[in-house]
Amino acid sequence: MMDEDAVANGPVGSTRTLLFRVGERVYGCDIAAVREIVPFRPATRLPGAPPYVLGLINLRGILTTVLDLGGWLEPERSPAEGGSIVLVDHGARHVGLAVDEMLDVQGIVPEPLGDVASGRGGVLKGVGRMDETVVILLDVSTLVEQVLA
Amino acid sequence: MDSAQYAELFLTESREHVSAMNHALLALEQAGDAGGVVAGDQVSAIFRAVHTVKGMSATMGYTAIADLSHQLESLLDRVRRGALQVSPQLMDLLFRSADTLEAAVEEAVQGRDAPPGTASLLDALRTFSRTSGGMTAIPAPTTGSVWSVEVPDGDGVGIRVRLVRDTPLRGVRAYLVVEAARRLGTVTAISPSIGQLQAEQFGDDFALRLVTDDVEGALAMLRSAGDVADAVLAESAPEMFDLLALEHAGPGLVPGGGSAGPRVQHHVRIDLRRLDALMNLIGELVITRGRLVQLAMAADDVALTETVAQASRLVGDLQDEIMQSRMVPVGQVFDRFPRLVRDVARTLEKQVAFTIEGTDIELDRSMLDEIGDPVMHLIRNALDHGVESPAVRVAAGKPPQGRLTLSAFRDRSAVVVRVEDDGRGIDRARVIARARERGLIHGNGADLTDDDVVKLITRAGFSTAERVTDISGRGVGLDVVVAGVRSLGGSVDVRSTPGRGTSVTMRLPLTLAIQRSLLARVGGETYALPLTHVSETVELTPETLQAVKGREVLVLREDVLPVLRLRELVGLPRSAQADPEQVVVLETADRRAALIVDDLTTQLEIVVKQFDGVRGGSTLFGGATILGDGAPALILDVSSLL
Repeated sequence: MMDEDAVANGPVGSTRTLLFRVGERVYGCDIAAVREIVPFRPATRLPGAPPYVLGLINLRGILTTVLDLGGWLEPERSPAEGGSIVLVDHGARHVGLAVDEMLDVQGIVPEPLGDVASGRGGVLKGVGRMDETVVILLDVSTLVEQVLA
Repeated sequence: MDSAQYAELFLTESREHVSAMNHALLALEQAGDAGGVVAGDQVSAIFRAVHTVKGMSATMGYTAIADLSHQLESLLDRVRRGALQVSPQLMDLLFRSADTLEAAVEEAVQGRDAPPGTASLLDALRTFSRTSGGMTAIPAPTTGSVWSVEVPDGDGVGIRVRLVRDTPLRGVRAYLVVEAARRLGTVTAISPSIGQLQAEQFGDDFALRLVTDDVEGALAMLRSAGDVADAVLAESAPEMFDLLALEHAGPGLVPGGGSAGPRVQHHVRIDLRRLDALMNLIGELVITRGRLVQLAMAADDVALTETVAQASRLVGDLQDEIMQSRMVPVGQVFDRFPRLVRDVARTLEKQVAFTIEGTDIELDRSMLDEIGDPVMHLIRNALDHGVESPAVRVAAGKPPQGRLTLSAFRDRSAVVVRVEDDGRGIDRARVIARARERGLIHGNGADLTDDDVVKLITRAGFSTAERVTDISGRGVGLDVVVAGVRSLGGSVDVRSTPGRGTSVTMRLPLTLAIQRSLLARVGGETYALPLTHVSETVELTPETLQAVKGREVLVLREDVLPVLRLRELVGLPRSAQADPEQVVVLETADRRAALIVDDLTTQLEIVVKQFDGVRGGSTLFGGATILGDGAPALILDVSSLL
């Protein structure tokens, strides 16, 4: 199924990728992991949680933990106060990722990341190109696993 | 019809009957101990329970259970008629039968074979009948045979006929019986058909419908027909298919020694999942109501406000009804403990008088399902480690028979369940030794207060049992019980006096799903405090706050309570001194503390929802809820706080 999508939507070997902006950079994640995108809304703070955890939001009666992707990527940044929340499924769990701006969905050919940027527990899993811009590809499942208790 | 549905119903009802049987057995044993007089009522009660299980299992096609209950019934019938005396051997056999029956029921419903030991028990039952009564074969008793044929539909009464086993010319015999019936009235239906009967295509029994004025006379005539073992009126449909069993006596079938007497109830059996779904829906409705009320207030329209107020009241009533429909008396779980205590006490060769109080106290079904195991472990612990052997007790100047009490009572919006014994109490030296071994403390523990020592037992990873016995070992110590109760939003208090006994008190919310809570605010954030753990609220005045040994305490009447500040707990800066503050007195089963908050807004029912915690996040919150404005609010887990 993934291959068919790639053929229909982009160059050979590409993955349908949701692209969004966080700070000055463009990031992307596999669209298959994304369930929904909702406008930013204030979250109820979770005391004791790391600063990049914005807290809980009520999503049609389901409590969803929201992470500030900007805060996680660049700890010195001030927390998100607008933009969108990308809801990703991870097994039975749903986690929201606050991003500054939604950009596009495109077929992106992932390339391995150089040694320099690797790390962050495998969340940064590759790079790709959107027109002339370098896109950093995220493995959101790994991110969710790292952050949730 | 879904057979799984019937299997579930069969399971529920059979459990009730086995429970009734155990009750009657215990009463019978006590009556026997008291003076050797056979309590006919109890034997009849056991007989009825076994008989019903037999009927139901035969209908379900669980032949192993039907066979077992049939043998058991034959034995009981002889006891009932006085042909067999109640002896300790008989009691043991009957208790064993009850256990096997229970196990067989569970297995059968899972589609598995009868448990190992069933065959040997059947042999034992047969042997017992032979050796102590001189009877070599057990004939099928009048009321207690397994019938293989359904009574056909039709006018008149249903009659079942059984031919003498292995009778020659069965087809002819059957035909003659039918002919005899036809002379007595009008035969409206036969099963199997008359043709099949003549062709001997039937088992030992067949059934027919007969329209007659004199049923008893007809039965007598049929019985006297050649080679007829039995002819009986067909019973009405088995109880388990009676979904709308009004005036259904249920488990109250057995006069359980007075307190657990028969209760006539108007009951309908409902799938628990239905009730859960209703509970969820009403939870959502309660949240929506909160929003609606806020919107109506903002709209400032009299008609709208009135309508919303009425709808709001109705939602409240609906919620009460749904909650009520989920409430079950704790007796449903407690009922199995007398038997447990008897067996464990026997194994340990201890003497125990076991008392149960407050069996009619009600708890939400979801909660009740969860407390059975903790209570069982507490009882086992009390018998294993608490109550001493008779010799030790006498040497300590106590009566040889120990006391063990299980009680339940309501306390505000909580239910308290307590297990209390008059045994040796908690052994301080042993606890300290074990805690050191487990690395829970360092040093000799001389500076620990008794309270600290008790607290050690409830710490995770502690277990006082020095060896794994089959009584309370199994690695389940008090620490595990405490963790379990806390996960239910409850708390546990352990009190112990060396040589005098131990009491373990569990304080539980009425339900898991909805909790009445107080909403507290600090720095613009709202937190919910479950009322189960709130004893009172007071306004903070500077003079009530004092420092004792460098720790802040609050003096409330004669009590001195440690002070906690919600702002600190949730990582907010202290408020300016000028702000008026409120104090919430929190209590668990054993501890109290004063929680200082900025303000208290309201008291309301909240729906408890789980959320995914994050690494490093505070463990002070047992869940969260959604407030009237749609915002999530965290629920403080009081028992982990104190």
